[in-house]
Amino acid sequence: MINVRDVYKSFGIVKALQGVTLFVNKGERVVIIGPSGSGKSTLLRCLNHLETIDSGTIIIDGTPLNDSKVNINKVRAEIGIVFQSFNLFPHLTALRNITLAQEKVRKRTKEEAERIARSLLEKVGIPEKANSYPAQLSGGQQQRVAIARALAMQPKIMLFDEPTSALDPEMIGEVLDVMKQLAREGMTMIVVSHEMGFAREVADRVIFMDEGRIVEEGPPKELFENPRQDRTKAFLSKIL
Amino acid sequence: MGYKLNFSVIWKNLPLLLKGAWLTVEVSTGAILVAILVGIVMGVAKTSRHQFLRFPAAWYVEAFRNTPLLIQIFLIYFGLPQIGLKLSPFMSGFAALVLYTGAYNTEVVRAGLEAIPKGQIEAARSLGFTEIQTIRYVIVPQAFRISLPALSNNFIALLKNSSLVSVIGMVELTFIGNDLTAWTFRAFEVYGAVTVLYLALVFSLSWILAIIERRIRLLI
Amino acid sequence: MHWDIVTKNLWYLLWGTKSTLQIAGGVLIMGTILGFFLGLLRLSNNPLIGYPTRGVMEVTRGTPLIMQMFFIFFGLPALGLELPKYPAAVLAMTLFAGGNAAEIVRGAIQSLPKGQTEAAKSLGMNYSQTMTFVILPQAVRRMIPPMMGLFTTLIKDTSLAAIIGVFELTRATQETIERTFASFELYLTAAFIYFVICYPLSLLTQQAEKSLHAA
Repeated sequence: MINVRDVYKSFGIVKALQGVTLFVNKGERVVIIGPSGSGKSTLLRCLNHLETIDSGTIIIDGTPLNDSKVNINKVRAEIGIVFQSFNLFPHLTALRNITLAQEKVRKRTKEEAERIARSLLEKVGIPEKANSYPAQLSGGQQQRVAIARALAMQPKIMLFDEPTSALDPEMIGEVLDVMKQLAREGMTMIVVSHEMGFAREVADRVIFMDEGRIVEEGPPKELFENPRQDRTKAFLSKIL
Repeated sequence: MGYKLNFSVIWKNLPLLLKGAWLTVEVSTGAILVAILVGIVMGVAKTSRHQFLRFPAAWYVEAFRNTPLLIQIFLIYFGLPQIGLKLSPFMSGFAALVLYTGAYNTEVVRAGLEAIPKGQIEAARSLGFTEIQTIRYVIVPQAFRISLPALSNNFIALLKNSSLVSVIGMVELTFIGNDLTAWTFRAFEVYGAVTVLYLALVFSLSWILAIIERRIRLLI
Repeated sequence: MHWDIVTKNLWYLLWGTKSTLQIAGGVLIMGTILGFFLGLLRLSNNPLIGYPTRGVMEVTRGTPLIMQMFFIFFGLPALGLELPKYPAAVLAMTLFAGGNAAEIVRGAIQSLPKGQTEAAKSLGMNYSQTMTFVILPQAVRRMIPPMMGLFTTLIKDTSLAAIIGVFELTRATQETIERTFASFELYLTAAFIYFVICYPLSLLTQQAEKSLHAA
């Protein structure tokens, strides 16, 4: 489903990714951990072509991303991404945030888009906030709307870029619950997060990144309890 | 001193003064609408990736913001005929007001466009919006909302600045005030009344614009 | 085109420029002092002080400067207050500058977090101590960029004094045109002189804004 091969990416002199290779199967749940600046967010953004890669290949569902013939907007509509800072459109209600791309990109009718949006708001637990503006919602509620907005496109893959790190502690649970439910339904997910409980419960595989490389990967139990690499050990000892 | 204040001159000529005030409103409203268009076109040009668009827009802004409006009015009305472009007092005054205010609007639009967080554009693109759709549905509505208070301020400044076009004979409130003073010799009363009228115009305009801002905030 | 007329009369235009800078500079200083008084009075908790001050500010900021000049120069003699054109223009501009400076002072003080006043008061400082040692030192930094902007505005607005006959750059230009009829060349030259003064000032203002936001 996701096929990343030998990807390099730098910002000026900063080498963000230095030869990353990663395969993710359909229905697999992958959690990426690592210190800040390790390249984990950059990798996620490259998967959605928000960053262009310097070399290597990324193939998503059979479509190579750095092929100029590919309509990147079509590919993006198949990949949902949830940002750390929500990035809801502040001038639109929660409902409209969810329906806009359905109508303009997926070409659904207004009625159909609204029906889907309302059922998704139900699913993320805030059906009563349909007509609220982002500024009227708490961080946790905003992030749940953002998840609903991404899900409305019926993506094949969901990417989460530190979805809970901008949230107050009491709101983290409500967002993680939505993500756990998605995982149970079989969504292919790549999550950058330091929520170890979430990783233990949901992930098929945990990847530890440092300095633009994948240092170690494995099932959560194995990686958390018996890390092989010193750098992984050092990192885990700081956060566990 | 022999001068006795006599406000009857104001009551007698009130219709004329009110007509002047209305002309000022008309001229300012017409000019701000055109100047907003100028601001949008030049503001987009100024944030463009292409140097050949950015450069002229930047110099337009600097040239018109860093010289007095009065000089611009004189240059257009008295200077341009010398190189073969003769405009009526109305056209000269209107053009100067549009160009001057347009330069300020350009900066407002540019700031509005640049104030939109990068995350907004990324969120839109990640949902599969094309570049045009992103501009249409995400950037423009937000930039407009951000720019609205500053554009309102420019409108109010324009209303006050429109008094300057009286010096080349364009008829509006100040012109009528000067005219009335010239044949009644009641400078204190007439200029007092004109000042009050300007104050009333500025207050009502601020009030109306605040209502419009609130409405638009709710609409988009 | 007769650019030789410009070169021949350049000294006269520069003489006018000197006058423009003198008027604008003097008005800036007097206007700033007036602005501090008005701005601080405007923030007074006593409505008998706050409201009248606000009224003065609204009138000077809400009406065209040219109208204020006409009123002072042509209108005030009715009350027996006859001012020559030069003091009349300077008085009108000072009131105008004072109103705008007051708004800058008020804005800068109110933009400071409330916690600053509360912290100072909790340490036992009285009003003038709080203002002198805590609020004003911070607020003055925030006033510098908009005050520089006001200076640019004043240089441009000095041109209005020409309408009531005060000698400065615009008046000097008009007088030269009356003798030579080269209005295009001379107005363009005047515009260029204004630009040469105002553009660097605008750049400095932007610079000051940036360093303020960076700090």
